[in-house]
Amino acid sequence: MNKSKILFVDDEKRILRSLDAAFKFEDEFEVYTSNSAEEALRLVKGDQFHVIISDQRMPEVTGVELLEKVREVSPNTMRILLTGYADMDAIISSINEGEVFRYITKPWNNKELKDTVYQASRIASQYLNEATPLSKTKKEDHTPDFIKGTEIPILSDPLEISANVITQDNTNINICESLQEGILVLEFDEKAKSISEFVKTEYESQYPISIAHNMDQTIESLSQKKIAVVVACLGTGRGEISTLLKLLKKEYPLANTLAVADRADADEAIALINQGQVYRYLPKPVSKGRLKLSINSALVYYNKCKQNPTLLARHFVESVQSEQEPSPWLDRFVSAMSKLTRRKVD
Amino acid sequence: MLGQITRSPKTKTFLISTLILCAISSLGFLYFKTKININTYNETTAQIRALSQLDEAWNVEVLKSSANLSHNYDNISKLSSKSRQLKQNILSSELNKKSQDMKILKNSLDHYIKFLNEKEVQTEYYKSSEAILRNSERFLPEIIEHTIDNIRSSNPDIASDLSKLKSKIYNYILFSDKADRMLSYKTIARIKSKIKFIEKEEIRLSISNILSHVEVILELKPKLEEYLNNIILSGTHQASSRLLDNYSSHYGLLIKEAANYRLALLVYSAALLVTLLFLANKLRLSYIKINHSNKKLQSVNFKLKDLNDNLEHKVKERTNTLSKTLNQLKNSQMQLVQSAKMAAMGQMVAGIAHEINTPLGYINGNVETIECFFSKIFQLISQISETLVLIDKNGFNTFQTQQAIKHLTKQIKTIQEEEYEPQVKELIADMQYGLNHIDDIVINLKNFSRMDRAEFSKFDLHQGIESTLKVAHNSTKNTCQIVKEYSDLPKIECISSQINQVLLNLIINACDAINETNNKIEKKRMGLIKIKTFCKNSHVFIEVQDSGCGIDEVTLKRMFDPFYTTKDVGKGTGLGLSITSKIIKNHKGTLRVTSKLGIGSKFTIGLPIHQSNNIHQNKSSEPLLLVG
Repeated sequence: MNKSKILFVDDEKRILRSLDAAFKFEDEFEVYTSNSAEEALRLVKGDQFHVIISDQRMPEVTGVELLEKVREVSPNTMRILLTGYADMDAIISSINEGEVFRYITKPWNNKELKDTVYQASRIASQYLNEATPLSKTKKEDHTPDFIKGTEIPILSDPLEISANVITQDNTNINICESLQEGILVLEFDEKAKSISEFVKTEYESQYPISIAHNMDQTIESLSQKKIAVVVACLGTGRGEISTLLKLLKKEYPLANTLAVADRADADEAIALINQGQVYRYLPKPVSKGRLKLSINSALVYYNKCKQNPTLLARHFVESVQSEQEPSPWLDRFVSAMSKLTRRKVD
Repeated sequence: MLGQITRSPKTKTFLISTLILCAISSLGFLYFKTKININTYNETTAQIRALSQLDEAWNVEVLKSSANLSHNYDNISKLSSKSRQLKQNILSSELNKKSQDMKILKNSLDHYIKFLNEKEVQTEYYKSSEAILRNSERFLPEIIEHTIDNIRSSNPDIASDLSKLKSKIYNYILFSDKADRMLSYKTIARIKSKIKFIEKEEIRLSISNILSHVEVILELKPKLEEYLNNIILSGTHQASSRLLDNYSSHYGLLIKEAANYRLALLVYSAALLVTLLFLANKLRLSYIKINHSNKKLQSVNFKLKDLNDNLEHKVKERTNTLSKTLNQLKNSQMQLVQSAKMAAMGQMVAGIAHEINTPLGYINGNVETIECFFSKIFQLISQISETLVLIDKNGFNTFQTQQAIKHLTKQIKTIQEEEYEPQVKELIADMQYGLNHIDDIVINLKNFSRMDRAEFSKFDLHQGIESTLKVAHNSTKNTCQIVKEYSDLPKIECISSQINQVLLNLIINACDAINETNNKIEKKRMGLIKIKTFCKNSHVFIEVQDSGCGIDEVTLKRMFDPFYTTKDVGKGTGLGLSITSKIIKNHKGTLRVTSKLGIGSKFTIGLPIHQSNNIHQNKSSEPLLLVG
């Protein structure tokens, strides 16, 4: 078995030394370090890396910017952000643009970091070790196919999977025609009504729309209907909703979750990355175009994952670390989920 | 308009007082007119009557005297003098004064007086004539008898004539018959014609004497009678009664007039009374009104007082509310400043967290790594000791021992191959570096926390610069060279930690400016910071000059504004220079900046050696942030 190539990027050489020392004697890893984003990008372009772990604050280029470029250049490389600075913008763009696998804060724990990196490398190696090396033509080709949306490619090549390729919002309609699954809007708060209204007017003709105002309704919807995309309004009771999103991802990774937060919360967002693999995190104010684009993109990605369930591994989540007491709805949720999974299996 | 308003009450008062005066004077006039002195009238009337009676008595006396009933004139004189007195009384009485106005009364009075005067004159005439007459009458009979007796013999003729005359005269005296008088005169004429024939002188003389006496009698008797008549019929009585009549009628008129006036007075009084009543009523009404309005006023006053009290209360309440609001405002302002500070601090803390998290991250990682190494090494050591025990027990050349040594050697070789030692050394050095870095940061934080407790004290600026440079060493060491140009400075009164903060801020800014230049040209080259101190006119000056990028005009204008920063997020709070300027201001110092783009900037701080009186003021100065 080949060693997984992992790349650490940080402008602080001591960090790199420390990481190198920690990882170099692990048999699974072939450790590379780079103290500049430029060099890192060069390395990624030149070779297939399983995992890239980047610092956020670097001179000239931020970690998210680097990871976004890496995602374009090498989409199968798992992206992890390792940062000592909880910058809200960085977190949000790491979700929406970087689509990072994990967001890890400094100081890190060697063992945990190793576990995470190991997980990521295992996921990445599923594709990288089988896949033909990245060719430039393929990379250029896949994007227009999606935009035209005439047909859904059979996702034998995992490299063609990218959730964010859709940049025009009128492309999804045909693509997702075959979807029987619907959109669930979690709207526990009156203030978020505009979101559900928007979703209704935009998607009602094509998708079944469910709107849940409380946890019971949510669980009912989830157990009775196939849900492709969950649009969750994080306002009142956002902790509970966050937990639900995380659990949902764990139990039913096929559904993509969008969190519309009336107020950005760094810890919440980080937890939603690591434990919930939230597809998009949109702090208010959200423009309709942005929301539509995000939902379309989520629908497309749902379809892709459905076609190619191996993709779901990329969104493997950490177990939920909720400080809250076990929610009363948890059991019902789990049973509903198991039914859902069973049904799906059937 | 205003003048009229102010004058009109005066005019009104004047008018009203005039009116009242008129009313009173007319009342007085009317009263005066109704007042008739009945006593005067009675007195005067009595006097007139007395005079009239006197007059009567006078007449009686005169008649008495003429009838020879009284032989002297004492009574008459008494009466006439009395009458004169009365007359004078009357003349001096009111009547005379009044009669001046009244023609009839005057006429009658004058008439009366005239009559009285005439009567008096006549009386005097009468008195004198009568005296003569009486004298003649007394002498005549005697002489005549005597003469007759004398001449009877001699001159019977004459004697008869004489006796004839004598009877005639007696008759005349008694009866005053004119015929007797005529006869007497004839007789006298006859006697006179005969007298010359008398030889005797003596008789002749006596006869002529007689004759003259007779003549006197004849002469005076009618006169006397005339006088008497005049006296008796002098008309005084009529005049008196007329006067009385006139007077009484005048008086009646007066009474009538007075009655009229009384009526007028009555009417007037009535009118006045009505007016007064009206006025009184009006007064009462206005009093009632006033009372009413007074009551109203009182109630209003009371209300006002109440309101006033209320107002005070309200004002107090409002003041309380206001002061509360003010306090709240102050609080919220403080909170705002505080939250701005907290935001800045949050930013700084985030920066510091990053700064600390970075070394903390690798220290943490290194510790784990080293622990891992050490566990291997400890494992090796235990194997060594086991091998040593084996050697000790079995001897060196046994197979078992050899195997163990072989294993050990292999392990040691692995460790050596994996370069544990240099790696561990490196990791430990990194950790030391990281710990130092954290230490620096903590020192900065400590300085920051000391800021609030700052107090003015004597401070050696050079020492401050040196310690600041030490704190800033981390930033300066890879950026620039420090050139110091110190001259002798006295210790200055200042808040040392604040001055250090200013110095640190300026030095860090200088470093940043140099780094900025390096970033622009994408080359790392050592910059230069020159720190110069000098003393001039009770002020000390510190110049911090850098070879950095310089400051553009926009920034020059705004760089002392709070939260204005040109630095990257997390690097600067935008408070450094604003706090710097505030600190300098608190120290009554000056701060001057000169800058040229691409060449560098120079910050010059001037600080007074002595702080005069703002020491206490500055104790309570706001907490200031340390900004790097």
